[in-house]
Amino acid sequence: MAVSANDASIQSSKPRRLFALPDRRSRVGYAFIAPALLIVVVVSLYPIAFGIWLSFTDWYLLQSLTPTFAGLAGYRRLLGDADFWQSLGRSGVWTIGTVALEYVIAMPVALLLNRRSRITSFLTGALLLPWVTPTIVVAYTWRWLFDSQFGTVHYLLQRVGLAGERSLLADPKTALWALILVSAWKGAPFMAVALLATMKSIPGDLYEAAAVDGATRRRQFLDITLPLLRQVSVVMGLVLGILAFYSFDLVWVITKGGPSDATQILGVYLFRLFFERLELSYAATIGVAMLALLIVFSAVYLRVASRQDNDA
Amino acid sequence: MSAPVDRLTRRTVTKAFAAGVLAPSLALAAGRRSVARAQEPATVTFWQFSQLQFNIDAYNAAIAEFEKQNPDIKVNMELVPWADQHQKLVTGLTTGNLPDVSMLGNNVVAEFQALGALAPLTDYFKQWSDEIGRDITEDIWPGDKLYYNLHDDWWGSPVAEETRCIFYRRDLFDKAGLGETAPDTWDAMRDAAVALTGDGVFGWGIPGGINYQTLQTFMSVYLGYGARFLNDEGMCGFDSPEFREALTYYTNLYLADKVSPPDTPTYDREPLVQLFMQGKLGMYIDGPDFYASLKEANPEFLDSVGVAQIAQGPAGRFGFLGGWPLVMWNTSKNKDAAFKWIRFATDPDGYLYQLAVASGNLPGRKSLVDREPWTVPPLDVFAAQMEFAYPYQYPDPEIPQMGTLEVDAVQTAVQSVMLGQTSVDDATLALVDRINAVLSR
Repeated sequence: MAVSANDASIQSSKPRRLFALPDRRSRVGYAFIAPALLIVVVVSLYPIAFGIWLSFTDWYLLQSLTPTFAGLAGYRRLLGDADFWQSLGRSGVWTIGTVALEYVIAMPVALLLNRRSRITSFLTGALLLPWVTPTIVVAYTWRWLFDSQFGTVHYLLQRVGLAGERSLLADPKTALWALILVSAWKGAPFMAVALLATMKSIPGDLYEAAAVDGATRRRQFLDITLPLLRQVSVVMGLVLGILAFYSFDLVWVITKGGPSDATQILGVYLFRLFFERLELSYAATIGVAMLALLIVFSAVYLRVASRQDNDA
Repeated sequence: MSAPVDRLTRRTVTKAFAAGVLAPSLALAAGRRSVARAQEPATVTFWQFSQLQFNIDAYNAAIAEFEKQNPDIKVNMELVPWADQHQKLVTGLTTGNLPDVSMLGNNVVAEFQALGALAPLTDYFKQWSDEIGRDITEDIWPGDKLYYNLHDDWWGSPVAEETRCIFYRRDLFDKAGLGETAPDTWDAMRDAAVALTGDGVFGWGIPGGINYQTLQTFMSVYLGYGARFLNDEGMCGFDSPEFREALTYYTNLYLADKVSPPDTPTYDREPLVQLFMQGKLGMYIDGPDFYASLKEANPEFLDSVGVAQIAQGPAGRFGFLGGWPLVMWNTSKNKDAAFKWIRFATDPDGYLYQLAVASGNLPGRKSLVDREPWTVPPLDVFAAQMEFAYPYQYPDPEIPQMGTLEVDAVQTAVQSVMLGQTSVDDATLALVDRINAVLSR
């Protein structure tokens, strides 16, 4: 029986240590990434670890300047906290609504920009304006646009019967939907650019062959474009979903979670607990719960998406 | 074959450490050395909360003058918006990044004092009084003593005071046949607002959103109707006919009388200011700095604007007492230098007059109010209103929980009634429960 060089090296080498020191070449790599890793640990992992630890304490700033260990008290409170569950429900509607609307807006825009014309490159650049505009500017602008006394958007909505005398933002039944519209308006360009980039990478031969076979434009879109956009859609849906789930600034500047808590999503609830009610440890509990929920949701989402890919 | 690889590896490892680890370390060390050099004169970090340019200019001038007189002290002014005051300070408190000196809303002095975050100024005040031969605390407004003198110690040196008055449009009053003077009772105010409303004009713009402005306006009404924030046991005192009557009056301005714009339940200061300046509001309640803003934005407009004292209710006339002192934070490593700056900025013989004039508000010392511009209209009206200016919890002393309670508790009751989600009675009971939950923690 021939023995290969690898087998020989395995047989002749000393027993392998569980935690072997890296070789020289690997050390170069570790040296290069060490500063970046250090930054990640300091700015990301440490705060997360601190937040998790804080969630097991009792720290009400009006009573103490330092936290005391309280075990699972915060998590027990969370289970019975109606405000938390209502905020979670709103966060779910907000996240799904934002991503869905972003996709609905982004797809036709990307299809339109995928055509060759003189103004498409200009429009592609201009398309990104809402995405790159600071959230604070977007928020204040839309707040005024929706105002019943100053807002042109309110005026138009009122003309077509979609708004009454009061701004959509001042009505607990419509405020969250109005915010979702603003959020999607801001996020859709990012989605559109990602879809457009993928569309441009689809080989033209596929469409030519389909056309020769008599496929209509609609059939080409359904059978070629959409399936090939699937992967980018899954990834962008997850990325924008995470951004939406964690968002706070847009809602805070426009409505501060009101009216009557109608737009109080989890980020706003957490902020209020920390900065207004000074319940630092319970705010940390909410933060950890948000992180855990997002990890579970992302895992399930990717699993389902991957299973559907395999089935296809 | 291995030798070149080893040499390459050693070189690369060295370079990697130099580029990735040593270089940033050297840069940090260099940075620390340069910071150390810059800190040779004592540095006092000062958080200033006004974003108005004329206030910023006034503080810059004060700092320049102070540094000229005290070349061994450097004051670093950092701007923090009033709206972010609380969260910025809470963050600073929990992360250990507080300034040496800051402004502080009078309403949260007790909160941060209770937390042990403020440094007492009593000894400094005593030394100051000894130097000038008179007790400086006698020159402090009585209302401020309730805010800044806690547990027999002083925790703030007052800069400016503010109270609220009625701004009204003389031209609209004339057009509606209401004469020249503003109404003097809450009932008369509602009647005037009803008369002014129409043709795109709302008689009285009131805030109803979850913001400070709503409480600062509504407190004049509930105190005027005789309601008390705290009862004799130190718990919430709003479960009373007087508070229900006040809440009914305020919310009915929007619900029944419709004298305030449709978005009132979410309105804060900004849209009301805009509406007033556009001639769409007949009356609006705000502080003296609003007059200063009007003066800067549209001086011609002032001819048609009148200012009157807050209206009276069955229990009397009550206006909001705002204001801010300079405070020293306990974490300051340059307390003596910090107090030198506090003294300079809050001394009637130092720079207090200029800072108070620039703020458009009233001065933090009684002895200055007899000087212009506080003796001429409209600031004389605000000076007169100061006699009726009180905190939310009048007649009770300041409580540490007020910083938490004033953010959204009362406003939530106002808003939910305005939106038709709950009755005055249910909103009152929910409010009482909420406040008591905070007070009993």
